[in-house]
Amino acid sequence: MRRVWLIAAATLRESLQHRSFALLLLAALAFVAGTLFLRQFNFGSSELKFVADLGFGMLSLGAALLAIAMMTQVFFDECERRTLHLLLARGVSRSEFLLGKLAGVALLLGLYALMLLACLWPVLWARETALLALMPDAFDRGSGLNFAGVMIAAYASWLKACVLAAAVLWLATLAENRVFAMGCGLLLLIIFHSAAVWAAYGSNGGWPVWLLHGLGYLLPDFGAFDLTPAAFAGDGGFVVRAVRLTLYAVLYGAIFIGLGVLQLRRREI
Amino acid sequence: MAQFSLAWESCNCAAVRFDWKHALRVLVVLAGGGILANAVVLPDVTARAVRAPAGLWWDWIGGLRPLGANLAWLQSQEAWGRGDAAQTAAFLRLAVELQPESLYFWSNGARLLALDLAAVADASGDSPDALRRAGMALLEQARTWHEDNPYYWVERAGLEWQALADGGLAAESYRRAALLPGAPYYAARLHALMLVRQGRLNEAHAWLCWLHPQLPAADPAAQADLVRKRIHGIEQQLELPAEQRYRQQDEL
Repeated sequence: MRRVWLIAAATLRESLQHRSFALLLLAALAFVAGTLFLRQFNFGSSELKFVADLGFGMLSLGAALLAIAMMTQVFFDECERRTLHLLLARGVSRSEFLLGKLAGVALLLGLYALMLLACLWPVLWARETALLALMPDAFDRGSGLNFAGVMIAAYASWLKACVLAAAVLWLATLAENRVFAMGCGLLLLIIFHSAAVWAAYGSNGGWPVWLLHGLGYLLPDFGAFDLTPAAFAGDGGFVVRAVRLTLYAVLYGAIFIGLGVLQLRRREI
Repeated sequence: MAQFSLAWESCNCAAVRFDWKHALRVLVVLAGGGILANAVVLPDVTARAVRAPAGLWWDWIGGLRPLGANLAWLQSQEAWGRGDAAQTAAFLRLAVELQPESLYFWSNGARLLALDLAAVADASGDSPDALRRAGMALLEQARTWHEDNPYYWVERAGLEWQALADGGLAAESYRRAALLPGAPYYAARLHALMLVRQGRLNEAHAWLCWLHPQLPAADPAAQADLVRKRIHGIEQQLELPAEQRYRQQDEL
């Protein structure tokens, strides 16, 4: 376990030095702060919900892109610098190496999510306060912001990014170069969000239902990680949901790490 | 099989040789884990409410969908300003695909096509009937997302009445709206009005007699007195005998 944490800490340090992390973080922070200016576009939903949607959207999409980019970078950096050989020669197992890499990137994603949340929460709070002053009756029916709910929604986005990072790590063990791994990672991001689409095609009789249901069982459904409504809900139902989502993410993380270990054994290093 | 292996190796992207046994192993692990995750840990994932697939293709951009929908909506307004029906419809479709859960884009989009653009269709060379049909078709697609929303049925009734001039359809849509929870009071009154306009006075009378006792007298939006007056008006038109006329509980 100690070796896993050492690799994770080294991965985190290395990732923090990547320019892509700093760039993506700055862009995301600027976007979240800028949602105050974009709020006039809220034709289809209430203003506060629109701002929350944009903030969580940036958190979720940014974390997913970061997971793809960073996971690929840290894996191929190890391969190209030959430090992977060194680690394996020193008795570090393949599973420890992959777990350490995933843990390092997960910590980085957590840091990203926390920083974005630290920016998003004041934005949401400021708008809610301003709207409350304008329309005191608007939040009568518990439609106001809920801090615990905001945290749960951000946590779910982080979980999703971690599952994607694990899947990209598996892809990286299979890929010859980082461009291929990143491209496939982006495809995975779209495919993992499409489980509901396949189910819909199946229910419409477009494709054989068994095939679509089979696909639904093979891959994680990222739609389940969207807990943005929790930000406005006062009940504790979302806590149970978050616990179950954690199990879901851990299970898929373990599956992808397991597949990665199998793949790494077959890879010529 | 051999051809697939050859293609796999010639694409020069994979660091490992293709092996069917390994591929099968991957599938088995994914299926086993997937069944455990989807059926045991999160069973409602596979049972997630699935409506129209079109909008769900954009799920991967997550919360940024509303922004995209609003930008597409603004573009549709710009195309509408130019009188370009085809582009307006295209941007409207994009807006509703990006945010299908918002009734705003469906209802305003349908109105834009079926009423606004259809009204100036002759000048722009488009067919008014085709535009009215396109507007109604857009609203029909919205049904999969908003069937339980009374305002969807109110909007639909409005278009059936104004664009299609079909009072029968409008009456039925207002009735469906009025029977849904959270429906505005006027939906029930408009259902009766549509029936009266079609000469279905007995049905309108029966509907209003059923409606009136349910209206809260203290709520001005319910307009219980107005409904009462309309009942009397219909009774006069029908020349109903006194014993068949509507009486409130306290009058009996």
